[in-house]
Amino acid sequence: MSFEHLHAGHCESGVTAALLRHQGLALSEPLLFGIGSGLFFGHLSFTRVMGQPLTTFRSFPGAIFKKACKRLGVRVRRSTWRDRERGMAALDALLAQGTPVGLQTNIYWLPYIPRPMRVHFNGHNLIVLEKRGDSYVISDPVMEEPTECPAAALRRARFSGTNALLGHGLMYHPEVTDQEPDLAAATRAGLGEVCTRMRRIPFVFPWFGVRGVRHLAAQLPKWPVRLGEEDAREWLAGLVRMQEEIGTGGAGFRYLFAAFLQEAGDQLGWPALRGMSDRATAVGDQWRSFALHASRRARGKPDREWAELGEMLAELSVAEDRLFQDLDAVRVAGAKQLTG
Amino acid sequence: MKSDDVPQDPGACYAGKLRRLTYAVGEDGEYEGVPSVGWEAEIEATRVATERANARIRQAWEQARDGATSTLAYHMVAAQMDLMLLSNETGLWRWRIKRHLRALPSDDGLLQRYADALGLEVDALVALPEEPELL
Repeated sequence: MSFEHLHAGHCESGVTAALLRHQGLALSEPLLFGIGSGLFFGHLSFTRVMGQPLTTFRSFPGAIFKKACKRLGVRVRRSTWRDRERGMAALDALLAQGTPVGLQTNIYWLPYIPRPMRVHFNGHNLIVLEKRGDSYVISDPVMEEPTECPAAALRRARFSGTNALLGHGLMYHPEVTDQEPDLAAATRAGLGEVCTRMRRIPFVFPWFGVRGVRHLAAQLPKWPVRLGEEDAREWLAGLVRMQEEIGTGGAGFRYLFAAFLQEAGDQLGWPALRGMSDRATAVGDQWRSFALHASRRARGKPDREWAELGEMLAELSVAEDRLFQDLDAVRVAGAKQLTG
Repeated sequence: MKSDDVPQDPGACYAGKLRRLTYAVGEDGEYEGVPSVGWEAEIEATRVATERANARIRQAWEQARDGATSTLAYHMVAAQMDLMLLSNETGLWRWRIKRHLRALPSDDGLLQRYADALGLEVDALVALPEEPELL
């Protein structure tokens, strides 16, 4: 069966959508992003990745695929490998059977990605279609077309790092058995988890969810004092990159999530859910506006003070809090309605 | 964001190589994926990050050239790694790597390990390029 490449906003939901579609379960990228509850926020102010604190707008790499498949009743075959040779041989064996395989890789080692976008991020997902001589044909959702990648580079990207949190050559593919899964239940489960993670993480963990946005709002104005203007600007640039660069579909996944609400609302005949989509879009617009002013500050052509940027984030934290509070209410009301 | 408002700003680092799919609301009020060639905010942020990274690479190159550090220190920075990442890639303790940042180890096995971690040949690891390799 020929594989249809999918150009997607985000690598992991794109890989999930393309792999499931190949097996006959055609669901859109936003739907799978929502069902897999990909939306999140975390600002780990105490960590340093290349000298900067880690900020994330989505859940842990690998979680979208795993959760979306689980909620749709799709069986997942996944394996990690300690031995690199055996890991590559297992990949080749699957490809020889004609199975497209999803991989978790470190994007830094992928030569077809433009140089400035290559950072050491170990959660980039892509699909391998076939082995052609000494290279692999890759369907990377970030790219518009399938590309070729030398075998050595793919191997390096697959096996990067020894840290327990990292991929260990993770490869996976779904096995669809039920062509008509319970979309309503899957959507509710996805929504429930997002609302919980955004609003109900106990206060002893102030780095996550809407409280995490507030935490960042409080931290950000202190950056120039703590680090000096130049380093603070670099951190700010890093923040904007994490929000907008490489596969967030815009506004740190908020638009992707809004698209999910709209489509799920239509498919399930749930108008209240569709209504929430506009609210999510408005929050996304607010994030975009923050990114624009933050990038000007980072560039050294500021049109907002540091305190004002913090203020924008504080407003975002309030807006997201209200959004997910209301969304949770819609979810609970809808659950009663949909199950009668 | 409306589909018409999806930025198409020139100067992105990926211009000509790929377009990024951005989700936006179309004329009919329905969400759709719109390919974007770039956006000012992201272009500027990437430029800042790239300039800072290049400055570090240049500095590391000069230090290695002057003999203040080993070539490993330069190649680490050129591969956009820090002590933590390199330790993670090689499985070596940080204090051990720190020593090798001052002077290269004589052990071939260790050199090979560093070379693999940095995606280089051993010959390239022990040498300093003519010019710093910038992003």
